[in-house]
Amino acid sequence: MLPRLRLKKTRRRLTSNSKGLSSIVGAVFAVLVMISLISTVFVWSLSQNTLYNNSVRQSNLADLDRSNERIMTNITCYGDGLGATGTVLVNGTLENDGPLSVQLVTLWVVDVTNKNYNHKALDIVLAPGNRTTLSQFLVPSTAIVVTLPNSDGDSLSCWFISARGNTISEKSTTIINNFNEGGGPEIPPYAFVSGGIGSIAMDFSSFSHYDNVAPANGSSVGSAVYGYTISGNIYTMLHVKVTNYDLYNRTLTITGGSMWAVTPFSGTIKGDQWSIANVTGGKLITGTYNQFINVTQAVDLYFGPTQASRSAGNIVPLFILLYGQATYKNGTKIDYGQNLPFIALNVT
Amino acid sequence: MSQSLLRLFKSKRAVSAVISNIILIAAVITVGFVMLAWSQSQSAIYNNQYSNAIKSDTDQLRERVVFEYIYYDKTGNNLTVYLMNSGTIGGVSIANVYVNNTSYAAPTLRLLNGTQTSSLKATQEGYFSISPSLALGKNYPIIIVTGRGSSFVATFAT
Repeated sequence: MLPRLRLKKTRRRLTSNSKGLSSIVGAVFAVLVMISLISTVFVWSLSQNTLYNNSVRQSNLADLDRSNERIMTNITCYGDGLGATGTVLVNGTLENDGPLSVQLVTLWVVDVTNKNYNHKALDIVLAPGNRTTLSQFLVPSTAIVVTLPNSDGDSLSCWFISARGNTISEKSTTIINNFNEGGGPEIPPYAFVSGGIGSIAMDFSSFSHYDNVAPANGSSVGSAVYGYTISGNIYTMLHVKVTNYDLYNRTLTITGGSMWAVTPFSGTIKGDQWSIANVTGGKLITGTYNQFINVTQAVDLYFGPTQASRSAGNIVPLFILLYGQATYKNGTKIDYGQNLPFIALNVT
Repeated sequence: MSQSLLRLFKSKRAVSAVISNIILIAAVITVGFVMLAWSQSQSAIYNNQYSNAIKSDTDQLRERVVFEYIYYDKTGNNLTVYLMNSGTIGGVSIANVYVNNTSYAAPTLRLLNGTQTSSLKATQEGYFSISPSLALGKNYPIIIVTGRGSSFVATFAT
């Protein structure tokens, strides 16, 4: 039989056999069921996988952000106050050296010696590159105070927790505890230096002198001259800025009689002296002298006017001789005297 | 055509064949629709189960717990663990804690202000206390397992 005839016969048999129709319908339904199942499940699986992949990506990103947080700290914990009412002051600097903003949410302070601990909720946000200073000495409102009973000589430790879950502990810590027995803010590291050489520190670069100032009440001091050469033939006033870094947090009072003096040297029996003077509004005010200097406060001190004729023709060493009183927080007053060297003058 | 129709109507045997065919097709269509509906419902159930599994996995992925401070008080035999939920999902509960090969199931979780809570929201901090017997001056690992099955490990010194 020819293939063409065979095909025609097959087609005729197929179309004339009505029983085959249900098989076709059944097959169509079977295909529909299969397509429905496969496509639904496939598309759904794809969408769920996308969700999962998104979550993995977000999770990885969060971990990456967390590892990219970089806060440089230089924090000092100061115990202050004794017993149950004790507090710990946290001072120092926090600098965000990372590429992301960082929010510090909690500060933990632990008294390692007594096994006490406490925490304080914070909300410090540091943008990249930003730095914040916590200091009860410079800006009292910025100091973080944590209630924590503590005793003399206890070791303290503190660390911050960021919102991303990083622990940020101090890079370097000076642990000082109850140095002033709860009498006020504790001592910053620089105060220990001042404890060794004197509470008043001089700003060397602020030294200046005023020339041709008449030694009379109300005379104008004129303009400051920054330099270390003065004339011995004219009346000059000397000026310097000083700051009180007292170790015990005392207020200092500088009284009259304080002076800036040239040490007598060979050829002079007595050195030149500039008595401490009150200058207000650019004018010399004569009378009783009392200058209060609170802790960390910087003040201008003026001396003179004097004609440094004895020192003329020499380079002379000068000493600021300060005398007065130191007043504790509880009101107790004691004498205070300090000698500040460092400056030399060429007197022509 | 008209002749073949006439022959069809006249033939008694053909009527029964047509009826049987119609019944067969109706049965196939009915069964087909039932199968289609069943397959749809089965795929919906499967999809639901699959999406739940994926959601559970993704939620678990988003969980992050950090240990802020762990303090052991030998006199009271009390271990206090301070945590923060640093992940991006809330509802972080503590299902189990393992310290020194001992399991502590579902310890009471509290917020830092002492309020009892069942779980921590995102960025929320809390703590729980358990009473393991530990030797002083040693390091111990602590493992916490969350309600979603994530585990977090830290080490602390007594």
